[in-house]
Amino acid sequence: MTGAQQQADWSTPRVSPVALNDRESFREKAFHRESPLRRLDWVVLFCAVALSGIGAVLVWSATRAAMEAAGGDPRAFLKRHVLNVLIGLALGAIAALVDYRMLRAYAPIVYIASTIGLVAVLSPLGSVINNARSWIVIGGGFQVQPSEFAKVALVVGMAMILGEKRDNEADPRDGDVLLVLAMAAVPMGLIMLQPDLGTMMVFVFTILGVLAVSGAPRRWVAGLVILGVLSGWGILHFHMLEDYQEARLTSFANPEADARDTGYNVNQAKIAIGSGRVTGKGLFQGTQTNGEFIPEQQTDFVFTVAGEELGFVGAGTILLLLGVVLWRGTRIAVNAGDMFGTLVAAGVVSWFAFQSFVNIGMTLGIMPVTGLPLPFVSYGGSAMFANFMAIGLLCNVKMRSNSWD
Amino acid sequence: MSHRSRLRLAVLQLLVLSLFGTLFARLWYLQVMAGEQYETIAANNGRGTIAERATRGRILDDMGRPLVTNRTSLVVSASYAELLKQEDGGLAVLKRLSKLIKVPVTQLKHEVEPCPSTKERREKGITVCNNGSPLQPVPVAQDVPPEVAYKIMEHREDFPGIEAKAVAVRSYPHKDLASHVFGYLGRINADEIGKGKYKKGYDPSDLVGRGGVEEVYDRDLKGVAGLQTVAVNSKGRVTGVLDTREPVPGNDLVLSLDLVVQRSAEKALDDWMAFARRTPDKNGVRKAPSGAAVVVDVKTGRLVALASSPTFDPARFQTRIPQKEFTRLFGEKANDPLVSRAVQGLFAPGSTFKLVSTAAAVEAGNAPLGGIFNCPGALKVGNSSKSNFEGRGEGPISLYTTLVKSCDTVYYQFAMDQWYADQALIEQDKKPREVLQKMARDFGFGTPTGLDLPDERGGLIRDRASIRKSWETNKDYYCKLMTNPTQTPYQQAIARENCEEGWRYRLGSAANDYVGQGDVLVTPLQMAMAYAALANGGTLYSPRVAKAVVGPDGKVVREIKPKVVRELTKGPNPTVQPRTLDYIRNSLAAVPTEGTARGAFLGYPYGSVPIGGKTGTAEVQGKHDTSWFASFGPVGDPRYAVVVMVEQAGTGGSVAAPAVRQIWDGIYGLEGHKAAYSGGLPPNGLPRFAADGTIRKPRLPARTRPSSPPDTRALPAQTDRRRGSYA
Repeated sequence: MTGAQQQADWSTPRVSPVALNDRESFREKAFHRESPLRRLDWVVLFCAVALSGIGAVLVWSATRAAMEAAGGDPRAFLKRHVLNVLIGLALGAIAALVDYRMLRAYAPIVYIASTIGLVAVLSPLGSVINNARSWIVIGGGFQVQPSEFAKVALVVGMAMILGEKRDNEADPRDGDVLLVLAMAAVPMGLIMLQPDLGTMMVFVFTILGVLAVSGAPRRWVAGLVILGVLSGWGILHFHMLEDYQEARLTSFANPEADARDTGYNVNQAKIAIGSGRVTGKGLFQGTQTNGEFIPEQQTDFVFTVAGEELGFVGAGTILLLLGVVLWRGTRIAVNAGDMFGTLVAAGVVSWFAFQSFVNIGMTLGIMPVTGLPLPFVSYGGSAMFANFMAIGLLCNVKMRSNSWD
Repeated sequence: MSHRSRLRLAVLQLLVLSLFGTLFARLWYLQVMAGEQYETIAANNGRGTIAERATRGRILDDMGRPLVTNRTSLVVSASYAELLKQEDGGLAVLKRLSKLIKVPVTQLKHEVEPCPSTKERREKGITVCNNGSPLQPVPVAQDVPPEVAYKIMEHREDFPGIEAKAVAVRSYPHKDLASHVFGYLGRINADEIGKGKYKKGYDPSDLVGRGGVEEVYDRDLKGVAGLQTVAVNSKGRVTGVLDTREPVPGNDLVLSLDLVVQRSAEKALDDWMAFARRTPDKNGVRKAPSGAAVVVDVKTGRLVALASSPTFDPARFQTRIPQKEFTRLFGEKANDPLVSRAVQGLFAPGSTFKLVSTAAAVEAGNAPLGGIFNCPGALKVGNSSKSNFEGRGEGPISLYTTLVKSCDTVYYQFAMDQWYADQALIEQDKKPREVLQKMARDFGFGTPTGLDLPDERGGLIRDRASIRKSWETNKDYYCKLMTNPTQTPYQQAIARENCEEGWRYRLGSAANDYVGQGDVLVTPLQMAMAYAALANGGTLYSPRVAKAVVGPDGKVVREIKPKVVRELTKGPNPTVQPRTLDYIRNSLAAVPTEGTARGAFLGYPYGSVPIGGKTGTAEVQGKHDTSWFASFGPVGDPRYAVVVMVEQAGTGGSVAAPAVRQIWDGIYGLEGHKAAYSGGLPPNGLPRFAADGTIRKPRLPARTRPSSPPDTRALPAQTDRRRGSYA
């Protein structure tokens, strides 16, 4: 969009009186310049769909050999991934099209629902997978991970509390900040019990991002950063983690030291990515991938498939697409029509940015192994649904923003 | 939106930007900068190899007769990778197998599982473990009965990861014959691979030669193992075959050793050691615990027989031996049967060393060939009196009789003459001549002969310089011991002498050295090579037991020739004059007829194969004498040197000499023995390998001359010959 057009747009009324005219055809309505569809952020949507498309291929490549060896359908994961994307898109559309003002009203419901889900996983309904009680198996091969939806609830809930402005106050009061922390403490405590360290860290970073952007007093922001660092140190120092967790966290610094065990994953991931070089070994040609040297390759370590088979070109493309989503997200935050929109967008950006960085950083050996999926690319229904709901929220904010940016 | 929020959003943007910048930079580093390195790691990551051992080459004697061959054996092996796949890690399978082959489960587990750390191995007492790739099946039982093999192969579902198949293993048709020459096979140790002789081409599953030609010619014999390169996933499951290399069978090794001569040498050794044991002499019961016999072709330097007793059965190493059993069979109490007395045993040579002392005395001018020397019963050497064997004197005799009768006092006189001459040189600040030591070294004593068998020893020849050197390293010990109150006064006195005077080459030591006592230590092989040099006119060889390496197609890959170490009679400054050697040879020719070995050779068909030789009776502190006989023959044109040494067996003439006689009988077919070679001469060429794999005998050289009577050209007037013999 050129600057001239942008300039012109500023002069047009924000809400068209004809937009709600019943007599107009659906077609006209849909493509009216003021229609939500026209105002949708197509770039973000394109990037998200492209990422999940690449993800589908990578998940296929990662699971093909093992499924075939087990006598199953080699495309089973591919099919499920595509199904997840489609469901995700539908959920995202709902999140995007639901009335902006109603979103605030729904926030408590989403929050309570996800909290119930988190309680449920800790009950006998929950199942333990990879040392964490994070799933509810609902049969037919489907399982739900409530903590993923809790991320959405957290973002909307925080935006709701911090976005409510009293009188003409520019920045939230201490009371608001405390309320936010109290609200976040419930799901965080429940996640801590699973225990799911990765999601915990995403929560902390998202809270920090939203609080900071909300204009909360500096002492709160600084205090939270210090608290985060101290508790991280304390957890390691007083061995509050399970051995496997601590080993995973600390082994990234020196993966070769324990090449057959904890550091093994990191080492094999690095070998996979490094050996892909510039153009990769070609789809399905990855020796590390086909040899099943990397565990959880369709979920947490999916980036290694891209690195090995598609090389720097493919892995770089994923980084670039994620980068574009995040950049657009911050632009949406800047241009949002109100504080609520800004904070929703900032929350989504903080969440995706941190989760992507930790996930990719872990495969590259610069971050500890924490079991976080890569947004859109990793296989996993709940995460995919939550991710697309977040994209829907971004679009919702964008559609109601005062900018065409 | 507040200014603060806007600012913080900008910070968030910056943060996102820098996080992604970091990821890009790291990705660039891994894939572009370090990519090549990771590519190599990845290439080797998903690979494994499964080796298939090549059939080892045979070991043949000079006539092409198999000495060590291969046979098929039913071997049960277990694959760790396959066992690991099972839910219980293969424990149930191992338990079933344990019952079948009657080996404890814990032992099977140790053998199949990858080797733990050295510490853990020591703690758990694990002696055998899997040091190879987990993919490589480990043999756990050999020579299993066919029904056991059938059971395993027919009930595959009960024995996943276990296989039974026929493989080639070493076969020793002659049991413990010449086992020191052959050596045995053992598994290679993990820490040996990649180092020294195992630098390249060795796999952890390899069997390698230990001792003998199996070790020295391991590379020739082993062939090239077949190698299957397979793609492996992280769980160790084979996902495909990448490359297959067929095994290449090893080359055959033809030895110069002759089966018949070797057998007769070992029998002679056994017979006469047994004789010594059951016949006490005047010093009591003879233990005769060990001995050695060497037969060398003096014209070529090739070994025709090399025997050491006690011996061992190399096949014993094919199956597992518990440590206790190993110690019992091969330890000190069993008299160290793995040690080859012929090449690794050091013994005082006694009078056989007079070959060297005579040559040294003659060449130094102490003993003119035509001279007459006094042989008293005893001689005052320095402060003590040293007597002849049994105190017997002969009066004035020629050098010839000195050798025939082995008169020690004549040599004591030579030693004194030389010692005083050397001391005089030292007082003039000149180098002592030390003719005995020089002559001994020239005859090959003091250094290993360099034959193609491992761990040969070099013996001991001490001169003034080496005595001083060892004194300098040991004097502190003696000087401390000298004042140690726990020592008896006698021990203290000895320590004092060693501390203060230990650097001296004393007159008494010199006298002892001249008669092969004192500090002189030699191997029976060195003695044989010295007598071979005497017999062939002065060529000292570095001997060989192997003659050629022959490929599986029958083509000669490489011929192995003994090296000439030294020509004693040649060069501008010859060590010894040819006529000196002639004189010594002719003198020694009379030892079996009228000298110290007369008793042993009574009735010997001297006319057909005349031999010469020298007895040796070496005194050993607190034990029976070592019995030696070093011989050569036929006297006119010597072809072989035969040496026998038996420990703690008494005089040379009583045990070693009759054993040597029996060996000569075996070579030439005398006194009711069957001849090893129809013409008495070893084959020049190699056995002939036919295309169908059969081996035919090499052509033997025709007997060119009838055996000749002793050469009498250099014989002195034989006026002082008397009956009677010394050792």
